[in-house]
Amino acid sequence: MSPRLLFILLLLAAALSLCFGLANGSLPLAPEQVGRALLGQGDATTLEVVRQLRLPRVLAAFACGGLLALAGVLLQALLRNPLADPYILGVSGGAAVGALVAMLLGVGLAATQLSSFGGALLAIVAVFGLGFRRGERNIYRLLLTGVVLSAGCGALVSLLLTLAQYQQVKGMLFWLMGDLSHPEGVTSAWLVLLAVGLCSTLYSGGLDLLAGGLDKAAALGLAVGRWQAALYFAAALLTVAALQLGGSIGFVGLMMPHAIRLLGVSAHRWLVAMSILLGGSFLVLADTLARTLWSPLQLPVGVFTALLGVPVLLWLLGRQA
Amino acid sequence: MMLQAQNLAVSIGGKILCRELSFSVQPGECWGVLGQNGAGKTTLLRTLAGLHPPQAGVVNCEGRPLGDYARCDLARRLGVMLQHEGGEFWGSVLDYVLLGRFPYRRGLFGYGAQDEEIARQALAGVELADLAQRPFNNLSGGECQRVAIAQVLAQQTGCCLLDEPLQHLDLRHQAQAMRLFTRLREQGHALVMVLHDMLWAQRCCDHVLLMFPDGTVHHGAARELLTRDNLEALYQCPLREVEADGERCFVPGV
Repeated sequence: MSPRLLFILLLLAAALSLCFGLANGSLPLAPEQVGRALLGQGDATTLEVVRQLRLPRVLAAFACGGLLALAGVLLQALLRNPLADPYILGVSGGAAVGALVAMLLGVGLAATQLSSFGGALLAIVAVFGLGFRRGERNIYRLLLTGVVLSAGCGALVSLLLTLAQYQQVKGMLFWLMGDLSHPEGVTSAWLVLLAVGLCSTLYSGGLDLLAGGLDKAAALGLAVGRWQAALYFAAALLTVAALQLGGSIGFVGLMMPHAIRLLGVSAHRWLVAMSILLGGSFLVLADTLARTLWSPLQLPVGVFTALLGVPVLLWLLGRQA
Repeated sequence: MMLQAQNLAVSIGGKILCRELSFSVQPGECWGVLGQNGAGKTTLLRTLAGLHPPQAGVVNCEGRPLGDYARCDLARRLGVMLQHEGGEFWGSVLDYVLLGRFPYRRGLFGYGAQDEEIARQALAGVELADLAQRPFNNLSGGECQRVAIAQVLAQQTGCCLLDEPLQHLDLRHQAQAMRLFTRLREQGHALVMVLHDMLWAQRCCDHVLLMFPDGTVHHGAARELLTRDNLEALYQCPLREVEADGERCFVPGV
């Protein structure tokens, strides 16, 4: 499939997923009702449902998926490792510890968000400070520092879960599995997504080079150390923005770039935009299913990203062989 | 001069490989670097490329120290082919060769039609034009090597540093690569290559740099330095001198 065609298909998929997300819920709507409501026509209930309830939610889901997928692309290029995902460097571990401590103290939603943000920032700074050496091309130290810190955070999360009251545990589990029902800062998340996505596309040649080998990248004129630092912070920023929107939602960041590669596109000038589109559409779909399938019960979206994604990825992998 | 080393001292992992090394490579010269495994050939080459910091001394490219160049400016003057290239490259063969045009990219989407034309010509130069659209990571070892040569050709630099450019190549393609390098030399490019084959060094290099096991380094005209005594000391291996078509050459004595 030519990249151009695939890109157009992904644009269509994004539009369809957004419509699907807007039309479905406890009040099912026809596509034309959704379209009219978006233009400001229709009865008050429909307007309220579409524009106040569902639009922010699908926009949050799309941004979150795009952020995670882009973070995955950048980290896989930085760490030169196909298993890299947005959570590998301990950012989500720090955020989780921050959020769970706040929940344990019962300080409310806004303070929980702030605390998880603080935890993530702490993890980012710690991993970079301990793991990054100027002039050292090998990035394993950074990777291992991140993995070690993640393990430590995992232990703290387990400890916090055992210390928590029985009724607090469910909220904590939802946070840990990823949940888009209280999106915060949707606008800033979109700004981060668009800015980093645009920069990554403009500098996609450098991403291709980094993936090919560090000495070679330097020999071909890339300031490798500066690029590594910039990529690390860009990926961390994307991850924090995604965590603020929906907690730690698994699978999207790891697998969306691979799905695009399995469809035959690997040059970063396409990979960046396509991963964002696929990740965004995918998460909107997963989130819509999560909130409608057992309605009024809302399921954690992280469960659906894996349930939907695993068979598709296995099929793609099998097809390739 | 293209490339100049001044009082260079190179070490790796605490082991000193050479000290007080000074030489300069002029346009149209081809230098062969010879020595045993672990003698420091690759590290010397990486130092000349600015990828490994020297313990002392400087390397100049076109009269200015390497450190004075932005990495991108340097990459338009100095091409480097490493021993282990490629890594995880997911794209096509042509994409890989196009990376050689990275120092020249401009505009939003990087490579223009002219860059692609140069990359295709470079691929044709190593007789791999047919493989342009194949995924890079399912090439054979020898094909990878020829694609890497095409990439460094596409970089169009006045000076090329090549680490074992003939590895994995069969005889026919060794000769093909050497013809390409000789043509570059005739066009006024300067070449420095690490070689393991004395015969190719004799045939194609006008200068050699010998890295002896005791840490001494001799350099100079190939005709003067490639003697039986020198090569036996270099490889610690008995050699026989034979004559073929009026040229003397060396073959292993065992």
